[in-house]
Amino acid sequence: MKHQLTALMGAAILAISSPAFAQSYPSGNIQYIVPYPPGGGTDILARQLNDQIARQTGWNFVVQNQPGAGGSIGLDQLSRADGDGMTLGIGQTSNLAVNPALSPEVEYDPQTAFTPIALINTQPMGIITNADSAFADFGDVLDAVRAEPGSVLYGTPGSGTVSHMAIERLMATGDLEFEHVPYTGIAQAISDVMAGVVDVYVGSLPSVIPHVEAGTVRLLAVTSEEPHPLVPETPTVASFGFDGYQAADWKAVVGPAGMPAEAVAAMNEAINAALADDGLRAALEAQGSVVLGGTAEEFATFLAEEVADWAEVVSTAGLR
Amino acid sequence: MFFDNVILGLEVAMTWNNLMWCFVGVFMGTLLGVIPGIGVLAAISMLFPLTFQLEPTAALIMLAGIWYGTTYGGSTASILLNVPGTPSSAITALDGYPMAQAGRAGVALFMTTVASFFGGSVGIILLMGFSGTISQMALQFSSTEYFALMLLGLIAASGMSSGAMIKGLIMVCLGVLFGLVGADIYTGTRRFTFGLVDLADGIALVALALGLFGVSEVIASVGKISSKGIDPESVRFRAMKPTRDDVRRSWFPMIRGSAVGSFFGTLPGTGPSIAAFMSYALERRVAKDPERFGKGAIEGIMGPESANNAADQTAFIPTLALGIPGSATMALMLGALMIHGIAPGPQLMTDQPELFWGLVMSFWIGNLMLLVLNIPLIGLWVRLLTIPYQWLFPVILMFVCIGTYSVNNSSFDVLLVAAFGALGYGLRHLSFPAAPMILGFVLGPLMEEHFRRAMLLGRGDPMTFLERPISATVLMITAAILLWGLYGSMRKSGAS
Repeated sequence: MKHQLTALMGAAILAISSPAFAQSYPSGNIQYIVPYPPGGGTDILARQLNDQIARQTGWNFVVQNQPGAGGSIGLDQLSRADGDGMTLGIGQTSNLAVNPALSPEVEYDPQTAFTPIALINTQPMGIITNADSAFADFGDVLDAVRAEPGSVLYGTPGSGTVSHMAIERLMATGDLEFEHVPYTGIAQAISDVMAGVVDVYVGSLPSVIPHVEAGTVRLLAVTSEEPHPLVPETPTVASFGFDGYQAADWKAVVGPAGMPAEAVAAMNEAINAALADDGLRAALEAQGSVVLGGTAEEFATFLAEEVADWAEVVSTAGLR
Repeated sequence: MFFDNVILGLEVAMTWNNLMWCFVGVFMGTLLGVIPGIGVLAAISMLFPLTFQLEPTAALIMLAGIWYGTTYGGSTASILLNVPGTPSSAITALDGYPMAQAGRAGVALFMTTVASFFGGSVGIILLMGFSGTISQMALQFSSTEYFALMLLGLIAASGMSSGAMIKGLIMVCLGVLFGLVGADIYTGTRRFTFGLVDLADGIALVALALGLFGVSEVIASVGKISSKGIDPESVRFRAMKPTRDDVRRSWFPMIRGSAVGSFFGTLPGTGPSIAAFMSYALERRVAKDPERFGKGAIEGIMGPESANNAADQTAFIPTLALGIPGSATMALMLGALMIHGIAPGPQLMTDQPELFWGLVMSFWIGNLMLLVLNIPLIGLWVRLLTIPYQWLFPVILMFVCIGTYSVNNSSFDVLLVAAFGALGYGLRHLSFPAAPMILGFVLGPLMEEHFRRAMLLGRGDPMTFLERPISATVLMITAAILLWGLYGSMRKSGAS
């Protein structure tokens, strides 16, 4: 306890004396909204990142889990908070780009209701099948769908998830017809893949990798533009003739609209400094992430692209 | 090899550090279980950040202790106050509360602790010896089988409560209707949400259960404060002693409850709450004199309390043996491993034997601790009833609000509790039973989910339910029960 206190004080002094943080931000504890329940991927990422920032700057984060409606309830709350930079949150593909296009109840406009601060990471989806499946590779799946549209059943963790939208985007690009079987989370879906009841399953890469490593399922493709460093031999969906195709679950730090520029700059700098730490980087990469970081402007541009892209997928697929 | 693992596990579990975290877990668990509303997920969520500082085995031992500890404590408030401490012990209130009203609260609390320990032990033995086999069996269950099982449960439970059959059926339907609220999981279409984002994920079970049972009980007691004083005799240690008849009646419900609980615990997507409901339905079905149920039948608490504790333990089978978490709480446990860089998955048992066996052996220690911890506390809990209602009930209402709020950090859910409390009070006056409504609320949406998925997987052919052997067998049993019931009621009406 005494050691921790000294370390904390040391960090505080460092933070005060360091010119980059000489401004008044932050003026106390930072409230941090995680729009998912504790223990999930988003929650773990947010806590790991905040821990690292706290170690480097001495800032204190108070995490508040506000789950519901695919992460939209938490972000809705964030959009109504004071824009002084003392309330921040973590957002992602679903609640910042997909849900606003898909769900009638989402009231915030992702581009005006928030101040973009920094991208954190991105994870592709993995497409898996039973270990004994007749599909040797993703090409076989595509052949089966082209020969008989609707003949391949694909499971996802739920309707409107990035996994679901990833296949919708593929169907829109390639004029293909898959049959969707939504599950509620990964548990029964993986069980059905292992029993061979559902043909393929699309889920976040870290959620499927343990089962791939155990040999009970096979990884056919990843949805990132480039092959993923954790599974470099697995081809991308794009490499099967879908140039430019990608679908990923990216996560980013956002604040309410109208945050002061200096707070954005201080927070962005702190996030990038934390992401440069080897320990955190290694932990995130082991979980299947590609670490991003970058400026707030880069994130804003990226967000605008994603919002437009997913809105187009939603309208092409007639999902709303 | 098996005994090497057991000894390895004991070595890990018996270190001072792990013993201490095990105690912290079960103590917190049983305490939070007693407090109405604060369910296991909320309890674990609150203590989750603490696990960052612990080594992974200790973290998991503590979280698991909270998980099965709450189920021990959950029955206390159900029995004493008719306010379910956790959703999985809501059913215990049906016969536990009448026992308490008859001055047998001590017996009920003592016997449920025994039932909990018995069920927990059966679950741990299965977890230790048969994880591999059982997890392979669980893989045979897909949506087709789930649907058949749920249908069996619903049919077996029809007429679950005392009173008119027709009222029970109306309440099941009402429960199903409340269960339909929220996004359709297949199309994302919003049903009965009235444009409210808070209803997108449906109505929270905790809000419904606490409102119908807890809040309505509090409202109903207004104005009856001085009507009955507690008999000081019933607080004495002697009053905990079950009669010879109690013990005789308890054996088979405990064994059946443990079997039902162990089974439902292993299936992802079911769990302790459903196990408890199914066990209650089974006990009522096999009883020679089902009209005793709902009036303080000891079978009605022994079965469900064995079932939910057995399910607590066997829920670890798919989680640890296959890396498939069956519930949000189990997913949280795996999350605690991920934080420490351990990939939860099918290889956990072979790659991390200290962790797996240490955790499993800590279950024995934790269950023993709970037994030792809970029995002396019974006297204390029963004494709660001597507190005048005008002091006790406002406190209960406060805890109900805190507990409901803590599940999703949602004030909307607190308003829902109030609404369901008012509804429950109205239904009570019209003598509509609340238990079938909760059954419909839990099973209805699950049946819809699995029926529709089974049809998708079966490519729209309803024969899929009869082509798959397990599902066909279960459906045949269901049909037999239905026909038997119809035959029985026809004969009765013919005779009269």
